[in-house]
Amino acid sequence: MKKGPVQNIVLAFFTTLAFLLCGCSTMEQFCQRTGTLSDASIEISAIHRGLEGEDDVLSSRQIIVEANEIFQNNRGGLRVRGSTPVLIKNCRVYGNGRSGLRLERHADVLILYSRIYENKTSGIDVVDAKRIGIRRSELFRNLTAGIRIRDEIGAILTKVQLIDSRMFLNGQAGLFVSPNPGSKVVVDVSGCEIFQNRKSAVRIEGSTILTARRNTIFSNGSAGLFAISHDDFFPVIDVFENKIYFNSRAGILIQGGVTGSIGISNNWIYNNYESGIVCGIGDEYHTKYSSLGIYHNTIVANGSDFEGAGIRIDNNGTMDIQNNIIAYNLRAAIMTYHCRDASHNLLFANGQTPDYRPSRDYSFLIRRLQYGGCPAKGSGDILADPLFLDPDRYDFTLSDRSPAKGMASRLEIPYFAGFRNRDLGCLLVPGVNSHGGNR
Amino acid sequence: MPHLEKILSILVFFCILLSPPPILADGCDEAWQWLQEATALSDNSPRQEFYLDKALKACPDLVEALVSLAKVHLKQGRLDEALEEFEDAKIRILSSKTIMARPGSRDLLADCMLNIAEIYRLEGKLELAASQYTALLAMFPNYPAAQNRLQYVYKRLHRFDFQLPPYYRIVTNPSFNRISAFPMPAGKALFDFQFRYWRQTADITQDMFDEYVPMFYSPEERDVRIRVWIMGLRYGVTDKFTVGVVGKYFWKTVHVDLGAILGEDKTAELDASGFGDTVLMFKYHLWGRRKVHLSIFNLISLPTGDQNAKGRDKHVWKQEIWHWIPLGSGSVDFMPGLAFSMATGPVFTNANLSYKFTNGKNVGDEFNIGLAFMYQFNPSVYGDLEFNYRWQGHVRRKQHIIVMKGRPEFYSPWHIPAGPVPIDTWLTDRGGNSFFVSPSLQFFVAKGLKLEVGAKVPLIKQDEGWCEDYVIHAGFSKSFF
Repeated sequence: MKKGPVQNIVLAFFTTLAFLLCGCSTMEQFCQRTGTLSDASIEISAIHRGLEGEDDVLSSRQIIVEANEIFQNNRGGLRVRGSTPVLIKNCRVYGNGRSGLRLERHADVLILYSRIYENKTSGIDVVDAKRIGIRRSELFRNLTAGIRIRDEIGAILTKVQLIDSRMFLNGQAGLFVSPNPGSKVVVDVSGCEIFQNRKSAVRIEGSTILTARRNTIFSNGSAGLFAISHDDFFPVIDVFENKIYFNSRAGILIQGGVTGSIGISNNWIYNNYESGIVCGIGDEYHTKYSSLGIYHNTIVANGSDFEGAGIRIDNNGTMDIQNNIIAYNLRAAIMTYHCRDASHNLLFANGQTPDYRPSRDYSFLIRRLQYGGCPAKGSGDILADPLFLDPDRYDFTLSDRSPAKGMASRLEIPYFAGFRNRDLGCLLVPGVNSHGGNR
Repeated sequence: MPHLEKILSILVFFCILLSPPPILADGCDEAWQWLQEATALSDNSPRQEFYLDKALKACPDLVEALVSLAKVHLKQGRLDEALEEFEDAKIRILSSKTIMARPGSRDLLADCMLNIAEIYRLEGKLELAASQYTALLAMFPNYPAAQNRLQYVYKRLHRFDFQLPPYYRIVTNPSFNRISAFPMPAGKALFDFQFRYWRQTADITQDMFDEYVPMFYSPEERDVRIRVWIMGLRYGVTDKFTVGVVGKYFWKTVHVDLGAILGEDKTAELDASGFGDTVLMFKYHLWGRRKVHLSIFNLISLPTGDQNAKGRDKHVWKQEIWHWIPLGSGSVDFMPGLAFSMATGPVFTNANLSYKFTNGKNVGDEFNIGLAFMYQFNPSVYGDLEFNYRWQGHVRRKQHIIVMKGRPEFYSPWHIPAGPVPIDTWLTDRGGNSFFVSPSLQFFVAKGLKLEVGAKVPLIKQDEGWCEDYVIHAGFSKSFF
């Protein structure tokens, strides 16, 4: 039975009140008392197993909002304030006059299996929250961002975890994080599909710490991932094992930022309409302290019109570009500011020129074009066909005869210690999530 | 309530005016709902496919649903069905004015064509895919997705095998400041040949000589015409290190005005020719970004030219007249310098800064600043405008001068009759500042073959000492890469 908007608000209010009055401390207690879910314990324990090391998360939920439709309210759909742990599960939150969910002031909320859509601002608005988990949920067609995370008070460490969720067709970014200077947001995005948003799939600003792993990010109206610094606060990003493709601007656009312990690694970044990875276009101040590690990516066929290199670095920061395969990009493979940041990469067929062969006429021009005009090639670089298995079908795994096999330099990064092979390019097939859909 | 009726009728009128025209049939409202449900899924699942089927059954003209269904089939790998549906949708859009009138229909058409090409690509039919992308770009020239995929397909089809990209341009050396900061590619060579002609004049006065020379009846001006053929070969040892050798062949003609001696308008022409000094070039690419480069270089001049060459004329006097016309400096000279090059748009800027260390004999020290702006008029023609500043130090030269002795010498041990008396001595040319403007044109006439023609015009000349007048320049170069 559908509940009206007023009913929902009243229900939410009274359930909160009931918790406080009854002094229930666990979710199981709530289920038994309300009787809304006779088999909740079974289902929740199943989810519980999937939470990987956060065993206390579900068991500590004191408020549960489950199987509700919260829709067409004049303002937000549901507002959670304070540190009482809340579980929102199997809900549909849509058509509300502001955000679907507003989670604020130390909120500790876990959202499971919910669909949040067509709200008039963002799907979920996170303001000064403490800990937010979003799993296997869908946020789509919200008028602004799918999820917007910000803080007004400052000095609160907000942790947000998005796992196996989908954010699509939102009016702005899929995920938009903009903390105030001085406060910090830690965001973990794993196994998500983020697509067809009007702007970037993920946009982070200021002192955000982003870990994006095994996501599929495609067909967004701006960059796949956009990081920008605010004043002297730089985002810290680790982006690895993702598929990033068909985005209208760069695959990854960093206008000020630094990479963490893993860096931008093991991604397939292909067919974006500007460059594959860009750092520092347009804002010298914010980019001169950027420091990026770009390792083991397969970057293919980016660019349109006259724009688009595999990796384009236009700043004075510190760059380390190693062990990537960069092929078929429109202008060049690597365009760096210093002409000296890259080594041990395989470059092939970048720029609208013939394939490189030393004996060919103008071979030096073709070679130089791979480096965006830089005269020297990086040490350990290979200029040869990487022999992808089936690039026409977007399969960029390496065939057995590939010259990229076993040619990688050794990186002293713990993350790579888990990979046995020393091939160039992405060391695995990234970004397949559990939801199916676009692969 | 007459006002109420008026207000109501006005409201009704505006409602009719502003209401959207009926676009679809009644069943299509339901179909739109199904389409929205399918879009909300966007997971290419059988459920989404079911919703789209329902939408199409309710409203077969809802081409948006057809395109969405085709996309689902494409993602599911059912390429034949998808192709058929995209083709169907494309024809429906193109053949229906009603559909074309709908907002977003052009995007839908572009989407169809893109996906048709995409299916061809997935099936390995790259030629067909390329033709679809091309057709799409003919209709929507700024469609980035089509541009992106087409360049990939062209690459796979080896369409670029015989061309350089349109935005690529060969960076060329300036005609006079011939050292740019761009290094030669490793293992590649460049040969160039130039011809230059200029006239050089300088006064000759008593105070220039080391010893006293009576100048009552002697020439007061030196006038030399110089033709030089220059052959150069450069080679890239590594991508950063370039070596080169430059040989020169001179033909110099000295014009001696004998009017003061003979009392009539008579000029002697003394000429000498031969190889000049050989220059070795070493250039190292010190620093570079994509479009900005800096190199250091050193030119070492080896004294292969004859410093004691003489020009002779047997036709003016009963006895032979000769003159020192050195073809080389007679010393090893060094000219270290910096070269800076920058390419921005169609303009290529080259700057040189160098100092030449000499022993001051025959050739003096020089400090040179050169600035060249090269503009690419079209892929084959460059215009070059150079500004050259030069400071020259003092130069000592051997001078053979003939003075007219007015009366015979009777008191010396030897009888010296009146008439011309040759004197061998040294003179010092004073240095000074010069400034030139040098326009030139360069033509790329065949692969790696460049012709060039230009002139060097002195705007400021040093007051004394040698300084060129107009320098005429012509030459060609051939690159072997």
